[in-house]
Amino acid sequence: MRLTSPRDFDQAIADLGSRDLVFVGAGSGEERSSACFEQLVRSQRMPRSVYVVDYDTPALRGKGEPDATTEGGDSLLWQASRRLQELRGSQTKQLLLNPYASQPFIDAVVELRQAENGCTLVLDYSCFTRVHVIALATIMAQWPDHTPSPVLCYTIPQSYVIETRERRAWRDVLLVPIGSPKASENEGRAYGLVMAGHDSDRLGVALQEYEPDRGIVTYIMTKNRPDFYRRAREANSDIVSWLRAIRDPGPDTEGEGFSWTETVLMLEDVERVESATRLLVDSARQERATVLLFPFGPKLSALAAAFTIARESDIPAWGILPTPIGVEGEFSWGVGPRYCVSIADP
Amino acid sequence: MVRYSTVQVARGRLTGGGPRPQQEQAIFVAYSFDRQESETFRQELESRLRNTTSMRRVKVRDGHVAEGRPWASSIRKRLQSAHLLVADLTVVEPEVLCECGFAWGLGCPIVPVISATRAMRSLPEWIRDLQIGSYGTEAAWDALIDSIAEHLNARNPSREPVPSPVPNQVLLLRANGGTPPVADQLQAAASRYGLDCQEADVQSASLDEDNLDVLWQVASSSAVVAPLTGTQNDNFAFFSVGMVLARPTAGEARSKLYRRIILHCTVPSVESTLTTTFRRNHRSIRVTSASTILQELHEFGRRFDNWRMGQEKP
Repeated sequence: MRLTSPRDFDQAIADLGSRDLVFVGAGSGEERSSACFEQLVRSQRMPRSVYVVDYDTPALRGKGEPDATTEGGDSLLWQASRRLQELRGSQTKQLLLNPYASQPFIDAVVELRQAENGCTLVLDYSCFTRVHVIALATIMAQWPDHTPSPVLCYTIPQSYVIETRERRAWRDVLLVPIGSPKASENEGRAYGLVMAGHDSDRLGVALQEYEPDRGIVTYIMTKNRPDFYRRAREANSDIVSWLRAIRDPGPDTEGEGFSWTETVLMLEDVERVESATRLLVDSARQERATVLLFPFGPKLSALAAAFTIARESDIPAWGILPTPIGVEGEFSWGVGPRYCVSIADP
Repeated sequence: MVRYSTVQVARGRLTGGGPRPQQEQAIFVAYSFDRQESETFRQELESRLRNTTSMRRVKVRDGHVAEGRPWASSIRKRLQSAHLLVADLTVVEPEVLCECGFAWGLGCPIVPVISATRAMRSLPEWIRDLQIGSYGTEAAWDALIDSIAEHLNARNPSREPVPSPVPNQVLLLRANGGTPPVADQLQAAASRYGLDCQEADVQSASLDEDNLDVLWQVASSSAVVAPLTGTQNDNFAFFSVGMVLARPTAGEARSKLYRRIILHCTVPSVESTLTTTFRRNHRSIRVTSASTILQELHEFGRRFDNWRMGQEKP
């Protein structure tokens, strides 16, 4: 099983023909949270039901809309789905979930997949928490053959606002299992896959907790938006230089030392993300080492990496995710390109 | 610096705002330097604020820039530190509208005012979406001073944060429902460089918080093509110039793409009526005619290409 190459949202939806659709997305104040849903409605592909994931925490509920006091009620996706409900009578249901718990999310998606048997799930993970993006990868890796393949949508925003000034402390550093949880056989060795994002604080905190002795730092390049890539470079340059310097094997180690490498991948090139991840997983397997994913770049790439790892059922692998106290660190505005991936046989 | 101001505004929005930091408050007065009535208004306003206990310490600034200093960056600095812009629009002048756009682009609230004798309907419709103050009578002055106090004491940002400019976004403004004469060619040229070209009608522009679509499009575009038709519609183009100058670069990283507004004179006589501010071509503002509009967009496209390839000079 593999992820298909990302396609334009409209094209992917057109290819679904007349199949019954069920839409799942996160309630949020970010414009991109409802972009795919609204496009779906505009193209007359009305979903049979809509599930809105509302995060059960004041910091994330109706993110960006401090006046939203009703649970999830004022998020953009709720507003859009209510309009559809009035128009077509389609049902909107709430999934009230802990944003930082993986298993309840997995259970909820599996349950609704069974409840909506025969329908194609359209999962918009643009505004899911990263814990849930990893959980989504785990679900995809175990997707049953007889069930219609889901469509996973992601909308790039036009701009990010990183709220570092509000962040006085970190609540926790979470270890999220990728795939089925497995015990580490060689605790002294780990391979890291860093998906560098714009928020280097988060990477710094994550590495303070778990610093693998070798691995890959990936930067993601987005078509027509090289500034996103450049900003990730700028934000992480100190920390990556330090990481590479401290783990430099030196000239006399003949490949025996530890090391980190850097690579640049295109957002649309999911296959390259998968092959880079697979190489890392193969190396880890040879040493019975653990794989640690630092999924801070675009969620599409984070999903692809987590999915590749989750398919390798024999490797212990964890996503490392610091969670801040107070305001969640990411907020965006605007709607950029929309991408869809699905799962297919290799 | 510009980016920082965005974060500040959005931060207030996310956290529900908070008390204003203990810093000197300042207002910026945009007025016509050439009109005695407007000059008097500016002096009278400062004097009345000095005589109001709660606003005695409020700094009053304006667009006067010492000779030899760069006006755009000087005004930008003043507006960046201003908490409010009060604009005398008794006679609607391009420079004053430009300063209004400048303030709006930085997220600074605007209080438009006119003299008591001036008819409000002479103002552009989109400005009338804001409550217009007046001066000339005691009652009007009292109301204006109260409004200024209310703005300065507001705990929360009065409106949505202004979107950041997006490097690959181009906006073609239409006036009177018409489109630029070479709209199709402009669209084609934009797409050749990977630019996303949108259109908006000046008639739909509004300062009403529930209808900010056109203003947001201007704010989020890196290149704006605005028609100058010699009519009242031109006022929105001047406001847009201010918005572009307020945040002159686009992009998230240190290497920025310089934004550009292309003022396209549809009537040849319009160009000669423009004041120096708008007539002089520089990095952010270009004045063009029908014959060169496409050339200007190509030039922006090439600059976008250079920036994309990492060759844009900082």
